[in-house]
Amino acid sequence: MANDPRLIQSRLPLQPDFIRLAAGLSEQAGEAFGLGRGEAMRLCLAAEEVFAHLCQSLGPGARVELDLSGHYYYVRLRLRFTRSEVDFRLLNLAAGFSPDRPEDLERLGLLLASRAVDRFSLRALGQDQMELVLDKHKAYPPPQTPPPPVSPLSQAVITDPGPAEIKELARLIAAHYPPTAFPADFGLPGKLADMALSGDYALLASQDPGQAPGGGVIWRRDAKAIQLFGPYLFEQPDHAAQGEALVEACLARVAKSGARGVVCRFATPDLPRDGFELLGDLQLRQPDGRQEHWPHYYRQLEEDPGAWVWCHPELRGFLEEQYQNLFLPRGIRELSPAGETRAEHSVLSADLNRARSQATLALVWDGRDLTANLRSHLAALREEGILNIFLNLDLGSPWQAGLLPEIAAAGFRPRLLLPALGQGDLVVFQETAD
Amino acid sequence: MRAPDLDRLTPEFVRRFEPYMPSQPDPELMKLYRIGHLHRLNNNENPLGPPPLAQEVIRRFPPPRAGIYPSGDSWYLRQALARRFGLDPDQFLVGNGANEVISFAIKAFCQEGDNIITADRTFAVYEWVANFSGFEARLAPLKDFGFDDEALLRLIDRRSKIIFICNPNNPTGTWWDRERLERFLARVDGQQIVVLDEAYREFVDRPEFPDGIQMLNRHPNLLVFRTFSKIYALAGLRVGYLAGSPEVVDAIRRTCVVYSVNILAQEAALAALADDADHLAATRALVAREKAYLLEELAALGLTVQNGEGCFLMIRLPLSDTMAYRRLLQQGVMIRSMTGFRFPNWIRVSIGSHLAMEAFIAALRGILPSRS
Repeated sequence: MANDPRLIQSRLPLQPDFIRLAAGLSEQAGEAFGLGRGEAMRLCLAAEEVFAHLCQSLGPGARVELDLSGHYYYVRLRLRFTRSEVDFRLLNLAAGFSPDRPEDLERLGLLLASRAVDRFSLRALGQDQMELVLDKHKAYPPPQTPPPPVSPLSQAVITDPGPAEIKELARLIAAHYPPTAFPADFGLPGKLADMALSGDYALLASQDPGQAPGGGVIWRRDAKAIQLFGPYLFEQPDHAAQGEALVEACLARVAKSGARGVVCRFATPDLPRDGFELLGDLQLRQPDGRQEHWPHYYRQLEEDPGAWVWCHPELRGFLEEQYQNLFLPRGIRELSPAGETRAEHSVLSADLNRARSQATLALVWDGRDLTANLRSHLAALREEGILNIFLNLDLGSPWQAGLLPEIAAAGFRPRLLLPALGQGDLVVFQETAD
Repeated sequence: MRAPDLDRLTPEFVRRFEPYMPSQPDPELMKLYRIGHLHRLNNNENPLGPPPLAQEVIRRFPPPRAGIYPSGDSWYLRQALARRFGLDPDQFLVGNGANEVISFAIKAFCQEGDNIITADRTFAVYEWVANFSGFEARLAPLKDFGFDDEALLRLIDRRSKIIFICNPNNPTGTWWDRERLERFLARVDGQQIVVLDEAYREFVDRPEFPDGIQMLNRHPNLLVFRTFSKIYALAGLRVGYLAGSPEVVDAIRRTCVVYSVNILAQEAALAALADDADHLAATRALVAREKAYLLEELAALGLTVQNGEGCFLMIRLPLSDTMAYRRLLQQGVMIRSMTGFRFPNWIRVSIGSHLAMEAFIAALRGILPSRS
């Protein structure tokens, strides 16, 4: 790690004098790691705003670990700092935001920072540290050449595609599937090749020597789950068999990865439904007002060991129905607030995906202002044009499970259960307009 | 007090590794699944239990002896094994289950940069121990559900130290006959240690099936692993052993943990060895009878089966194996899901009592999608 040429580590005093250093370092590292000039400048702006905020919150004497890492298709700025001295509210995406006072936006450094980058997240590291992560993606040109002609494979063999085949796959996916069937990034040949190079994504192709791929499957490893995309088949008469072979080969690759399950949010008709469980549908609002179904498929990779989960009494009915439908063995322990002492202010993390007009909130720290804080986030995100806002609740974490009434009061409703993908099972809530 | 800096303290290969989480104890699972009875068909345990003499030894074990250290190197058990197989006691090492002797061998022969070779879909512990010890595990794909000798040989380089062959293979039950094993050993030509894991060999009743221990004199690079956990039904006491040439065993002895096999385990294993003739025959008969019953029922259900030697068989399901695990367990039947063996949508079921086999078939019938 210490010798990784794609990692720059620094430890800086949190003083205004160093803001320019942090910003300049981010800009130059961004360019060195492959960002274009414009993208590097935006990363620089994000670093400047975040650093200034931390200086204001933590004051002189404090330090921040500022790391920049190159991941081929994006550059990551990561800041670690001591939590106990921070006014947590300033770390909320919507801290201090009032929809009635647009001028407040000017003071929202973190909001500016979040606008300058593609992804933004905040999490607690143990008892006394926080980590703020900002990712700036490299810009890639759309496909410059038409997709190669495809024909039925005489003998489909599953292979690990090289960079050239990956770029062909990207062009083929974009040409043969509607944009809703794949993340927008997959349609950019150079980006998909870099995503594989980074190790974040992996691909398998169904191929015949000397021919264009007949199909492919793509996956990425998240904290505890594999995200599977596809399988994508291009005019193959035996598409179902090739799809099944691709998915089985993928499962064999990830079987011993330690991931607990495979989630498929971009399933094609060739995903072998036999081997997956339908967790349910989310409703996605589109800019033109339409609603789209968004099915979520899932399968475990390991035998479910059974578990006890925490829940508020008002969530019990939803959970029992989910557990019954999924045949999941769970003991439910109820808990609800009983007047115990709480912090004044809550902290939420927000993971934004502007391309899909989605944001996912997660609870970082409990506080008495939770409902108001959630509403502020909703207002800020709507202001940003984000149409679909989700919240993940971890049932393995008792303090989170008890917060249901406040989450519901902010307009969130439980929609899906993702088994064992947090400390315990995760419930996905969706903000509803009603 | 500061929290330890685990990033600095933990080697990188350990940080990359995910911990293995064994399933919860039966009473906890039964509580969660709300079941009153559990048929354990997941670990290839012998439903007959240990041989009668071993049961007697366990029953009569005097509690005060639990306060006394056992023989540090299972001295009497090694003597008995030597008598049984006509070898020297120093050609045996006993461990806390076969898993421990796998660790002994890897520790003895591998150093940084070395690799071990085995199949991609076999007993997971060879690959697992190599990985968490920081060594590369090179995996040759199975061919027609069996170990592929040519593919294994192609993976050898100058840093290859051990080749693990599971014969018969868990979970597919495929096996190499004597001639094929001899050919393979000739090709390896003593350049690597070849481990022949014979955890299930006592279930096999075929003349052409090789007896690794009989081949040791001709092949000094051969190591044979056996266990008291399977046909001898002492899984709960954890006793396994290896046999090899005196020189190879002497090398492994330097890395092996002494006193790891407890006193009751050593005495029960001794007794099991002394009283196994009827027990082995009865177990083989039960496995043959119940396998035939299962095969007939599974054929009637239209399911694809992989059946070989050993006290188990594999079944391909038209649903996720991990979901099948949950749904069967809800009906009191615990099987092994096979995704972790890189066989997605397959399950492995151990051969158990007839009652357990009937319960399994009834539960399986209940979870299969109806055929139109």
